[in-house]
Amino acid sequence: MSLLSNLARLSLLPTRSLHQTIPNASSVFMKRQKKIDPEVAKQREARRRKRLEKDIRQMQKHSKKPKPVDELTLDVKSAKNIEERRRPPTQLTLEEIDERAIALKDYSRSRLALQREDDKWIRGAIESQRKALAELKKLSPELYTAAVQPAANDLPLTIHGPSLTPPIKNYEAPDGDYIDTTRNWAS
Amino acid sequence: MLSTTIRRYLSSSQSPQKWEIYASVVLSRAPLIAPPMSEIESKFHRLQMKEEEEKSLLSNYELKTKQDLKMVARREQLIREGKELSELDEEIGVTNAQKEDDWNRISEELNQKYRFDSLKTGVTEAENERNLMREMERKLVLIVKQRMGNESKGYETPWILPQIKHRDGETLRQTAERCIGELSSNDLSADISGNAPFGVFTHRYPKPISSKTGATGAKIFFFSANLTTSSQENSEFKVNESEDISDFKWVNQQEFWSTVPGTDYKKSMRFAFLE
Repeated sequence: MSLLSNLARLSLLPTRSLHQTIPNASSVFMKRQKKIDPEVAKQREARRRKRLEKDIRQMQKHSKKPKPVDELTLDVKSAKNIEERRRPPTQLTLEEIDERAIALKDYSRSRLALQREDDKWIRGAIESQRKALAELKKLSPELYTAAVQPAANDLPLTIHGPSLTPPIKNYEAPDGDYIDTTRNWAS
Repeated sequence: MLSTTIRRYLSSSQSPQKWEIYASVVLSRAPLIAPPMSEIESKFHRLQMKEEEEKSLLSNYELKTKQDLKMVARREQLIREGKELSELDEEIGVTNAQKEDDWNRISEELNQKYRFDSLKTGVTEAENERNLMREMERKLVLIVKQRMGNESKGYETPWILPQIKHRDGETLRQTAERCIGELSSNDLSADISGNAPFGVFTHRYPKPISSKTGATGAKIFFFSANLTTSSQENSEFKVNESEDISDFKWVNQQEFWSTVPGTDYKKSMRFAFLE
């Protein structure tokens, strides 16, 4: 009798509330797992590991490679027949050599003159602006402080230089696709 | 603090000079086409190109031309010997000479269609100084004759850069922007460079005017501005003639120097020209 009552009390212990379900694996909606031969599984695992290692090695190899400079790389295709590409050597007469040397000197002199002119212009412009600002400061300090603020909206400034031929009026450009052939070196 | 304000008050009361502030805009049109090379430049260019060609290697195209010449020679030899030509047909294909003929034809057609040479000379009809397309290889600057608010008296200034009086509460750059805005009735977009003026000119009024206005003279501050390309394209540039401006024209540096009076005035804005 005492044993019975003891058992009854046992069944009322909180562990009883643990809810147990039937294992999911036996559900009809689940795919049945195929049984694999452990040998084959091992092999597969090894193969996958090998492939991953190879990929990692490749990636490491390429990650260290800097972006190539096209101007410095050798064009293999053209280098193959480089001997065919040589021009016959030219013999310059003494006059021609002189002419070239004189032309070069004249040209560099003209560039120097141009640079001097530019330099003079820049210095003059800065001085002129300094004077104008000093004048403005005397007249009105408020306008001066407004004038020396940086004009951030003006930048960046894009200027399309003059072309060799003037723009054609009412020109309709032919249709075409824009294909960006720039290689991407990021990542 | 108090002492400084008093001192400032005193100093301003001591000097009887009172200046009117004006903003003036050097509105310029950048050159549309590159100017031709100078003699030194073109000679150097010619010789340099020659030298570079001598030192270079043959390109693929030039190799093809050489190949073509060989093939043509072989073909003629075969014809002379009276043999079959069929074996060569595939090898020859389109020769470079044929290509060049095609290209020349196309370029000729384009030239006929658009007449680049006549475009280059630009507007020649009577050298219309109001046309924006004149003197394409030079930098042009807008000069005007202004009435300065005296329309009834028929007064107009000599040729000057467009200018406008500064109003209270705006910065000088805003004044310059207003000046451009009042120039033209149709959309005119120009970029002013910077907040600071690049030059100043002091103009002393003659006695009667200074006694009437109570100002010793005017300080004219110069700003430079460039016409944007979009406003050049609809080249029917017109200036508001009804209002303040009675006449306008586009001039290059030399013309500016010869038409605008006042050496000091011109000197104070000479840095707007760089060619």
